[in-house]
Amino acid sequence: MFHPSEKLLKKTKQIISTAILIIVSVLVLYPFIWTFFASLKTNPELYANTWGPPLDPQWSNYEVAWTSGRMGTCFVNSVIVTAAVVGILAIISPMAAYVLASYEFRGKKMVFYGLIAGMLVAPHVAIVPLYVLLQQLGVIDTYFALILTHVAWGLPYSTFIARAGFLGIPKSIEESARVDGLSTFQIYRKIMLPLAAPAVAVALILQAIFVWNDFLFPLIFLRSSDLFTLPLGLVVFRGMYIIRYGPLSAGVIISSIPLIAFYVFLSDYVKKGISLGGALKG
Amino acid sequence: MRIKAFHIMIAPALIFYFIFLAYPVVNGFWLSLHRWSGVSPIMTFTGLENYVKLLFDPFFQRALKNTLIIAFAGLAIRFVGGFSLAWIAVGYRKMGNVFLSVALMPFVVSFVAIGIMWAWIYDPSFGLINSFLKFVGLGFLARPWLGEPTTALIAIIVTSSWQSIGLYALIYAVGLQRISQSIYDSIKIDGLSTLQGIRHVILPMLKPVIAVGFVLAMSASFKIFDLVYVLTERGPAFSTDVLATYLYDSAFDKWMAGYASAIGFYLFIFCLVLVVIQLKLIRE
Repeated sequence: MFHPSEKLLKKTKQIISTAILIIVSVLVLYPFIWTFFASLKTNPELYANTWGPPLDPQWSNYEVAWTSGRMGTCFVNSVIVTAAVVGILAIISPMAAYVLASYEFRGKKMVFYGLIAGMLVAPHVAIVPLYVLLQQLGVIDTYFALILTHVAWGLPYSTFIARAGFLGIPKSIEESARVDGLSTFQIYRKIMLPLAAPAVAVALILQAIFVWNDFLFPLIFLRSSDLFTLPLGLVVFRGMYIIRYGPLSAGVIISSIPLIAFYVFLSDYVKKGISLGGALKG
Repeated sequence: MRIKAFHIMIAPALIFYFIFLAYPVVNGFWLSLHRWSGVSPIMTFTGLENYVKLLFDPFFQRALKNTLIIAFAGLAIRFVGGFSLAWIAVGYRKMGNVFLSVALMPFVVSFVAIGIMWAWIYDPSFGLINSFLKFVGLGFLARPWLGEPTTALIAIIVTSSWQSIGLYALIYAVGLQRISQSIYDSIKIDGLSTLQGIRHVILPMLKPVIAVGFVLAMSASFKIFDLVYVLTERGPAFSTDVLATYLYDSAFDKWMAGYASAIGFYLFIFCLVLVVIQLKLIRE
């Protein structure tokens, strides 16, 4: 069918496309690999052997980061805060999403627009009043300062994604449950929530990533280093170890590896959540 | 009105929303109309004084200029780069999917970790960029990338694009996959070149997806804080200051809470206006 030259052109195009995808993949992955290599090197080796794998791996760098660099403490704090936020959101956000998807009530439109506005406003706009409010509540420099604010600022997005899950369930299922005499809450808990679970899971996974990575709230709401989460702890660690690249790289790896592992296992969920969330945001 | 079960079910979410989101935002606007240190009991109502003063504040002007440069350069890179990668990736089945997963990976890592990593990549002595330039014989191009105002700003744009290009590739790829195969076929039958087909057929059909990409890119750039704080530390000599870092500095270093709140509202208003203009342009 094709002329030889046309065939050649097609082949060239394909080679160029493949090359672009491979080069971009390398550009994306290599900084992580490089940081991992650096985390196992001494300073002199880093200068002498910048690009390659470590010749004499210094696993002790991880010990330094974990204990002297306080990455261990920060790791525990990050787990506590993230788990608490995701746990609370898992209870209240799908409930609200279900009500928004299934019920008509006065002020529903306002709630709806309020949530959209909540997704578009940056927390910076409210950071000073938030600080004042948390101080009045006496929770500045506690886990609660992070948990309360993250739940509130994560709600709009997670409720929207969960709502899409509930909207996807055929109305007849809910109606037949009602005929069977189940209460509103039973219908939600026993019938609707399990059916919407994939969308709810997607929403919670995205929130877990946002909370784990957040730097602004801990920076402003925390004082004691015993409570610092990983991103803030990492900045403090860099302040102390500015020229000890090995342990500091180990800190970067420690703070990122849970998310990268998480992502490798759940990348389909994350991708689905992002394309779903992106579509909803428009 | 009788309280029903569903009222109770939506109540916890609304309570959190009102106390820790809606109320602080409204309160922020109220604070922005005052002169207040954030700690003292004295709070003086000054109306729009903070907003007017900001317009004449050279540090605010610089922060705004940098934020706009980062936003528009970032938008162009994310749109052109993201769309091109998406276009190539959807041409493959399995490999394209793997590529999209790989490209999205930096998006799940914190800006703090990324900022520290990239500070080393730009490092003048052992940094990857300079050692690469020396390796290929272009050593004269090596420079302290984060030490000069222009290259430091470019460094922020490059790093933030690196972090998020996969997100935009994914969003556009999802959009491209929704377009039916018959449309791609008809482009070929009509004898349009690939570029003509993209320009006249595909992009108009992708308008809603492009709009989402623009809104996401704009709001991400206007919020940029962590990366500037960690990568350039606002330097050299505060030359890469952006709105969010200037806000932080005003509120928590200079203790000008009312002034800082006004910066927050400018940030919100500028972002909103730009998004609305872009959505209008895309619709036309």
